[in-house]
Amino acid sequence: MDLILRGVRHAFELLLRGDPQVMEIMWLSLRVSGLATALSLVVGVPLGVLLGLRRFPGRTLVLTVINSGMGLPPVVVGLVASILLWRTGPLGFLDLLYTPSAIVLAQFVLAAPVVAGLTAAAIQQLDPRLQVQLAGLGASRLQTLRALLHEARLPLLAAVIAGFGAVISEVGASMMVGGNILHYTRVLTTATVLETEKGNFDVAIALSVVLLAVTFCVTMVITAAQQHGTERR
Amino acid sequence: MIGLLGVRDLSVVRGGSRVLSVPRLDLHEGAHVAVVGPNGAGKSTLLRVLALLERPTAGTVLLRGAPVPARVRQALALRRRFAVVLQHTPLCDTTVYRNVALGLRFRGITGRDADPRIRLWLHRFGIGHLADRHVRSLSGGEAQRTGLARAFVLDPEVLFLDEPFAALDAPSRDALLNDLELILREARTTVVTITHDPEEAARLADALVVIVGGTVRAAGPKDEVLQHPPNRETAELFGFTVLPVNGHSVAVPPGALGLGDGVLPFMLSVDRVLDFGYERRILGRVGDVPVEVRLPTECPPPAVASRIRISATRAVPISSD
Repeated sequence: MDLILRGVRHAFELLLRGDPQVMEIMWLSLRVSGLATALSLVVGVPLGVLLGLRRFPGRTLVLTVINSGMGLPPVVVGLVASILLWRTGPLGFLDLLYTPSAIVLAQFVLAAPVVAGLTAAAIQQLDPRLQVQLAGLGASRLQTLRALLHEARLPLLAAVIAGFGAVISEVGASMMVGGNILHYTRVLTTATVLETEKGNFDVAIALSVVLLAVTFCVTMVITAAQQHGTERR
Repeated sequence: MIGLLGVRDLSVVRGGSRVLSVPRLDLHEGAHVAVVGPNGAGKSTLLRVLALLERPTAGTVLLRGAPVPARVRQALALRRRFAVVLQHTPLCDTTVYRNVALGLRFRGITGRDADPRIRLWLHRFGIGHLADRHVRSLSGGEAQRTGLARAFVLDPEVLFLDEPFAALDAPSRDALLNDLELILREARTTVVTITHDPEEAARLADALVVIVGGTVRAAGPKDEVLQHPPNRETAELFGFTVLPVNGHSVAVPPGALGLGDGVLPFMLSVDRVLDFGYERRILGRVGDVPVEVRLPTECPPPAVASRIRISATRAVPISSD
């Protein structure tokens, strides 16, 4: 108990002091996971909309693959990404292994199925007649799409939260493709693992508190956006 | 009168079975047309094809005599000359005002250009005071009024209403039917109303199209169709009793059957007598045909299982197909 309290106190000291190393690790975590989430939205939302609105052969198979992908073990993704990015691997020429870009890539693979799967579910739970009704009021395809996304905004923002939550908190992929290099690829989760291994439990707890605080703050902003204007009148 | 909207050799096939087959149909400009038929007759399919929301399996839709092109961009421009209110019309998750503004926004009409039009139609449908309310807090009648205002505000060339009263309880339906009847009386726009209810059809339309089993069984001016239903389905849909006379069929209008001798006498086997307090209804059969006769309460009720003489004061011959 004493250890935890000391850790929490240490965490606040580090935060209040603006410890440069912790700040650097925190910003890298935010940048990497933020970028991975953004990329997963770029790919996952259109894919989810397509799967939610259209019926085509193989759709159920694609949905099954995506839904399975929502539970991808980060360490497996890390392993596969590492093999692909090894100097001798098929993507070795990109020279990405042990770079922040490699972590973004691996985290994108983790977040994209979460975003796509939840987007498909969000679109599918809308009244199917809404699409026809919007067309009947003169909406173009793009206007229809925008209106449908607006209707599904609550579960869509939940998809963003789930996607970001999945990648900011994972350690396996970041460790394997990033290598936990100080000042370069060390993120909050890999730093926590390292400090725990070194026996610096108070620092590890401090980093965990920072991780929780970061996750809480980002989620709070998205939740505020989600709940904006939804109060019942 | 100009043929505003029409179809030629139209057919819609779904899952291997033909749900709609209309060789020819023309709707005239300014007409208020009711498409009437039982559930599953193909009415809504016809509406979606006419409103360019669904492409038929075969055939052509004509707008002012010209075939509607299949290309998306051109079809969108044509679609924007129409407005559709679907059955149980789904509203968007926002305020009444923003819902009514939706179609205008799709057409690039916003702000000061849109506001007076939106306010006018909110007022006409009696929901002006609900403008800032979220649609989730509306009653069924208020939601349906919002859906209708959202279409009327577009001032379309053709307005399509699919079962506009289907979701409503009786008082809300009656109130909205009265309001819509008044609004349509002033409207110059062409209106196509889908309904399974003959009363709604008779009150909202001046022309009728009767669809049964995916085919048009009658089409023409309301009075003509109602006074001389051309076939059994049309007659029965509008509450006529179809009875056999000398190997032919005649359709007796609602309320034209009574006790005693008359122009066309029949023998009725009495099955049940229902007493409603203000009137009695005798349920029985003429041959195999179920027949209902209304009696004033001062008439003595006939005995069940007896045979009594009834007659029609008016009847029209119909084709027996």
